[in-house]
Amino acid sequence: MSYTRRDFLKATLGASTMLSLASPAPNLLALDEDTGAARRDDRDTVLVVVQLSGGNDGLNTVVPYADDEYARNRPTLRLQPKDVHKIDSYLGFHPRMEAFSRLHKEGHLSILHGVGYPNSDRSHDVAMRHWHSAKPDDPNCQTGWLGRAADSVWHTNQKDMPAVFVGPIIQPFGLRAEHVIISSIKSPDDLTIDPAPGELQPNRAVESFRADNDNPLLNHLRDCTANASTKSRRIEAVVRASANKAEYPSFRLAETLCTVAQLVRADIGIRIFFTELGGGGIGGFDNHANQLGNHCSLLHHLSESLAASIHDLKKDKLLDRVLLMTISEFGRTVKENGRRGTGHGAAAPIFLAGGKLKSGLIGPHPSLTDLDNGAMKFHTDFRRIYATVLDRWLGFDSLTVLGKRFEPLDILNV
Amino acid sequence: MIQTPHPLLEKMTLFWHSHFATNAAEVKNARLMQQHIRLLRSQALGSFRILLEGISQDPAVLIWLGAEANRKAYPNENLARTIMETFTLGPDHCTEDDIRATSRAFTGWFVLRGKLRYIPREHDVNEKQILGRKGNFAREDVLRIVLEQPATSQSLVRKLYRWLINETEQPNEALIAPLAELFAKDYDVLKLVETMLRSNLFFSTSAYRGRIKCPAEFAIGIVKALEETISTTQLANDLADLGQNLYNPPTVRGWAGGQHWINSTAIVARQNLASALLQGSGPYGNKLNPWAVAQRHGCTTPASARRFLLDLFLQGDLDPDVYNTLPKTPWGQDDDLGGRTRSFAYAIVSLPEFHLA
Repeated sequence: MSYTRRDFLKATLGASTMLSLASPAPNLLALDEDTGAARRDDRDTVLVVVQLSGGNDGLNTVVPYADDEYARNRPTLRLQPKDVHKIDSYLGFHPRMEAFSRLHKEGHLSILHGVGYPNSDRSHDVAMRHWHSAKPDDPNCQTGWLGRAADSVWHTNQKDMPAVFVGPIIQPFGLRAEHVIISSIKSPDDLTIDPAPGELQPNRAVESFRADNDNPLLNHLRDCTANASTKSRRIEAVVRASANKAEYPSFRLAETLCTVAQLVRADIGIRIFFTELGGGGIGGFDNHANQLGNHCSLLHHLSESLAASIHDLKKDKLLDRVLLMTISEFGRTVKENGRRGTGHGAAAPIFLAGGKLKSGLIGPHPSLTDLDNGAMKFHTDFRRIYATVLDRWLGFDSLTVLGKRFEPLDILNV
Repeated sequence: MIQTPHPLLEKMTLFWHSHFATNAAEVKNARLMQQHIRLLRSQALGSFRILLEGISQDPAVLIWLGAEANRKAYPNENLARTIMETFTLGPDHCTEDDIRATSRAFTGWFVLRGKLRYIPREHDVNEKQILGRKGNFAREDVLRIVLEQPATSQSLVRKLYRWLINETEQPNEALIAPLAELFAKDYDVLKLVETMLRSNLFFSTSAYRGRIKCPAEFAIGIVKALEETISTTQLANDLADLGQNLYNPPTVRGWAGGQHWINSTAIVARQNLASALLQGSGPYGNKLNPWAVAQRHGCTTPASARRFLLDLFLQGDLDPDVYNTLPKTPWGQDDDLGGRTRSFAYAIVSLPEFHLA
């Protein structure tokens, strides 16, 4: 059954109408209609970053199955042409990424080949820090690019939190902001108001005091308190409404992306979501030995989870507002090592998923023979993608965030 | 902070922790962080001169700023820039040339295996020009020169004004100038703080509810008012969720604070923390008991307990319209007075007014 905005409004208003009976605030319903129906940001776009921790092996993700060099360099890890999900006569998706293959055919998935940066580092911490700070040349940079993005749009009377981390690990550095507070949550519950001590239901008695006070701080606090209550109810309504509906596989990333989809649906003003697969630290994608099985299950996990969230959002006609992007600190060496694994590399593909993508394949696949220290060379600086996403998708100023202008890429249909 | 006999000292230690903001997760050495905080506390109400000297040779600060190796050939500009622009003068009071010269004055200082070391052959002995002065300056000379600049005392007085009095109004020059002059004489923090706290201004309306409490002030304010101690591990985690991860300020500029503390999500998190603290069960146990505290202070009826809590948390000052929104079910003697008082206390500390100091 499709879930439209009308349903959503009915659900939220229904709940609050019932509650307003018991509420001492007679204007509660009016307040809700205001904030619900007259959504100022109907077209507000959302970015969801999915971090693949550990350095994903791009070659075994989007496989150049027709390249003899691939077969030659990967005696035990090579994936057979008959097993891959073919994209064209040269490339195919990993056998367990049937969902990605489907998304790609539907036009909801783009592959950006050969992404990296100059003099890229091959230690996990340093390289990941570079992808997070987006300032590899500044070792003292203390903020992440998404943190700076959140800071760049902050204004004095801002009520909504612009970005959030969803997941069970420590918040990645990419969200480190100088000014704005960016929360880490595990589920939508973390953004709803708990019941008062001794009560079973959250306190519904929200008064909206007119901002006639001459203390600007108090006005801001009152606005935020009223807003907190409205948003909290909206999240509860969305979670209730989607309880048995959404079909997500039982993967951790799927759960995380389900939370993201619910929060997008609740429309609470979050523009940037950061999620992770691989477990943080030196993550699960770091396969120096016996890579095949582990990599296979992670890719399956990624592909099924992402596809589930795309379909969920599409069903609600929200997909046009959402762009998902994968990042990983580096690719891996072309040649496998003696332990059926691969070493730390450089260039790798990035995936974009969403409803407003321009084309399925962007840029040429990097050469498997012209290598830098055993790894494929990059041809697209990752900061060009960041800049494109900031300027053309989120509508933020990439110069403020990245400190430099990067040539945008023609990858979005906006 | 919870158990201290000297709250002002703790409050000022927190001020310096945000001023000389050093991030433990990046320093990656708990012993050095402890040493760092000890330094902050020892001079929190002492001498800013001694504090600054200590900071400039504090291994934790040097590691955090990536200045473990100040080689003659590669002077570290980050340390010099931070000391001048963030710790003392404030922005726009020195040139890039001043910063480069200062970084040369700091050469020779290293952190090796967690200890500060001076390696004379790595010190740049050539002449440097810093803020209009010329000489073969070393680290202590730079600090002396920087402390002689009126900009230093002015920027610190302004920052303290935000911390202690009001963070929305820019104080005018006539107010700051005499305080800065007083402070510049000997950089005695206690004297400055005392002057500010005893001033008419501190008791004026502009100092009243003119600041937003930082998460630590918010939570510890509840705990201390109810005369108890609680699990600090749990509290530290919850404060981090509110945006104040103690020992881990986001950048070297500390917590931005003020209105940045508050958005709708932060309000939800603050209300949920208040609920957890006052619940009487769960992670914080049943330590905080407002009804017991009210009784201890001579309250025998629900009405007197309500008045007591309003005085305790909001100085008894609340707009009547707001007061009327508080739970007002008539409390009979048969009711669960402990539970009722908990909900009432929660309702008070969830009010927008309680976030102000």
